[in-house]
Amino acid sequence: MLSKVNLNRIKVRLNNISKKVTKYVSFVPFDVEVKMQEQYMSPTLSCLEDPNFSYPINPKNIDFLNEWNIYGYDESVQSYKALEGDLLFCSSAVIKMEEKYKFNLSVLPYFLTSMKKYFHTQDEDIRFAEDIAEERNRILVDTKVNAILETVEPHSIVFIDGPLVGGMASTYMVRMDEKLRENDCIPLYFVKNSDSRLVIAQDLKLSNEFNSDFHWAACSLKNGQRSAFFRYVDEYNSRNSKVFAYIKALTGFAERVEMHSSTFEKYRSLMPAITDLIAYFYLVQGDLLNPQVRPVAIAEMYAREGIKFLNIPALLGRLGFRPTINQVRFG
Amino acid sequence: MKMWIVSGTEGELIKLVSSKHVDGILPVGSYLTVVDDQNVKHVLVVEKSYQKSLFEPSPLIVDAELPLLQQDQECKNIVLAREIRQFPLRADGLFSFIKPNDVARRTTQEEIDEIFTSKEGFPIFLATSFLAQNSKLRDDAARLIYVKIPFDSLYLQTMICGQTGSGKTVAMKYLIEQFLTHEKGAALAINVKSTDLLTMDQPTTINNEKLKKQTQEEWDTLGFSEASIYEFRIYVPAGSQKYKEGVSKDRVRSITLRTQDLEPNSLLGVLQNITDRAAEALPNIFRYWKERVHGEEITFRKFISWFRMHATKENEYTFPTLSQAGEESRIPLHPGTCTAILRSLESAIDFFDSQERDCIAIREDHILVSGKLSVIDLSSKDTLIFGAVLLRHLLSKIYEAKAIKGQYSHVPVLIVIDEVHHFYKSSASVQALEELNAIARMGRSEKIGVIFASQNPEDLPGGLTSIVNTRIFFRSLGNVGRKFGIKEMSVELSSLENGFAMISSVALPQIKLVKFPMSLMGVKT
Repeated sequence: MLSKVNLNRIKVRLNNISKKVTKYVSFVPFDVEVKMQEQYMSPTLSCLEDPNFSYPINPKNIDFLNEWNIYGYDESVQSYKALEGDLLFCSSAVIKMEEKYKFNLSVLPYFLTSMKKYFHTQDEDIRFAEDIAEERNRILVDTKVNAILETVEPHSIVFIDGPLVGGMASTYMVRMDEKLRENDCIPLYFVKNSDSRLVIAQDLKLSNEFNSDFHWAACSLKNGQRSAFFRYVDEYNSRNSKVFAYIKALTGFAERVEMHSSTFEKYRSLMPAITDLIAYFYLVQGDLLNPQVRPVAIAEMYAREGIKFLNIPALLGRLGFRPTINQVRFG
Repeated sequence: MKMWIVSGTEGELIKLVSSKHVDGILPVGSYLTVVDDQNVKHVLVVEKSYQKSLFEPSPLIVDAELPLLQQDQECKNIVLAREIRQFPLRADGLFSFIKPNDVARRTTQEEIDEIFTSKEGFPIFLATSFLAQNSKLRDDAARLIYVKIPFDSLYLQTMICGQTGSGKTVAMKYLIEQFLTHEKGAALAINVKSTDLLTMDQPTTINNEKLKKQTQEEWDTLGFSEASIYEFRIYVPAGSQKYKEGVSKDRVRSITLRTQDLEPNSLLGVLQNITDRAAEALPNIFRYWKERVHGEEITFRKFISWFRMHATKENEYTFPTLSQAGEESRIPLHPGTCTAILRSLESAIDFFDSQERDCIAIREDHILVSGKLSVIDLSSKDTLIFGAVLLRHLLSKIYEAKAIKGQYSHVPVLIVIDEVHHFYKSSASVQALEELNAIARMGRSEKIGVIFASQNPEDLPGGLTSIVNTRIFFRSLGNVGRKFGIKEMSVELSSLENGFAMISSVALPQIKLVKFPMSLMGVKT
């Protein structure tokens, strides 16, 4: 029987990023401004450029590498189902591109259970949850927000894996986004998989031809092109507003980059240079089957290594957890 | 500080990863020290070392003519090393682990001295290899690291192999020099080529500035200033070219062998490519002639005449013999064998019983002089067969004097036989190697060491390779090293640079790759 659970001893925190070496250049937008002719396509979606035009991107334009701090974020999660509840190991990594890649890595264990004796627990690692999936998402978004806010310095471009707006996480993410922006940071969110139909739903012809916006972008963009920028505003909460575009830097798949509308407004003159830098980062990573921007890919490497640190089955045995039959059978 | 961090194990080897302060690759052969949490020092030797690119960028960016991210250039040095010692030893009889996350640094000279404790020995530099390039091992302060190989190991017999120009001869000179200086022994060397060993009374001169600087650093590290003066004599077979260019004339003496003194078994030296049966017979035939036939004058010429008389159809090519035990018998030889023996005997005839002025009949007491180097010069034409007889004769006399008569017990002896296959064929029979075997086997008790040198180790008689306990391979062809017990490290013998050698020694089995220092005397580049 599970007695006292103490997960503190298996937490890992490695802080490798030195804040002393940050470069800070006072922000003065200087780039050529993107011409924006906003076209309202629906009550929630408008196009900020010509929706039928594909815009060229230039991966050789990487001046921002020297002018901004560059950060990447990703996480890796390992779940383990025990009779007593779910164990969740969340490894999150923030990397900073200095002379070498620097990283902050934390691997945090959580115990999610519906045992009522934990209903009033004050322990951060042990969560009473009747809806484990919801609690899991809360943990992930907390981890992401904390890791980024604790690490990222002013005047940074932050490349973050996952969407800005989506479900219950939106509130936390938008709040984080605001704080970053207050520090002269440009948070950019990257989405690889989505069945969103925001763009094609506005045009019968497109919705006849394409299954999703990703499908449309993959077919309509050529290598080295991006789509127009689109603005989406949540119909219930106007704070949950984002601007996004599809970018195709490599053969095959397109990816979606999104940012808060306020970010876009504040830094709109820098958008050509930012999309160029994004294209460069896709090319540097160069994985045709799993396209990612380089800072996110490096953060992912560290996050995965974080999970490898721990021999989780042995650890759980020592802590007194008993695996479910399916956990034993299928891992 | 440059450090390597233990990340785990691969088989018997410890795996280490370089820390961020390391900006290069630790070559194979380097030594690392891990000090564990109990203050036990673990010394490891690197057997494999390579670089690992941590964040390999995509080839696409090369294709797109894009600049590479500086961060993507970060590399780590991955090292696989074998633990060879740990000290101090634990009181409970166990040996300590090297644990993941333990930290290693380069081993210091003091730690090398601690684990290889020989105080009396000849120093050689530890060496490393990477990408078929050799370099001397250095500590963190870039000082050269060396070990001392005990002189006692020389008495367990040594084999040195290497191609021409690989550093084999210089190493022999160095060993002779160290032996004379520190062991105060008597050295006998056979010179078979040019003036290789004939200028050992002359200080080394180096014209190449780079080599000169490297050599000076080696000598400074070892505290060498100038060579001790030792007695040096060159013995040249009578009738052959006595003086050679660049050789000090006053060191040269003509020598001969008196047939009356000749050990019958020494005649095995004249036998080239003949049957074992004939090899067994010739000493007994000679003994018969010497004991039963000769007149007042015992000369080589007369023995040949007598031999020729019996090597006829009328005498059915049958010879009387007298064994060491005094038993008489008769033995028929094949006519072809008789002809071959006669041809060999006649080629050496002029070197025996010479009446030349100032020519001395060489004896063991000329050789067995403390601090003296005697070189027998067999580089002139046709002297090799005589040399083979002479060598056997002298070895036999040295053995007799030291082992049987108990003389010269205070004089250690080092015998250096270059191009040993000229004197002992690779197919030599057990009997043909008898006296050499006897000497080699009593080497440790009587302090007699033999260095067998050859370009190709496969030229050495099988019977000899099994009695040597130190094998030194300079640059050699093919995989001969593996055949002769040099293995484990990923170093190719064929790629060794001059002076660098793989070594396998019972005295210091952990030492693998070394650089021999330049001798203070006798080298001219």
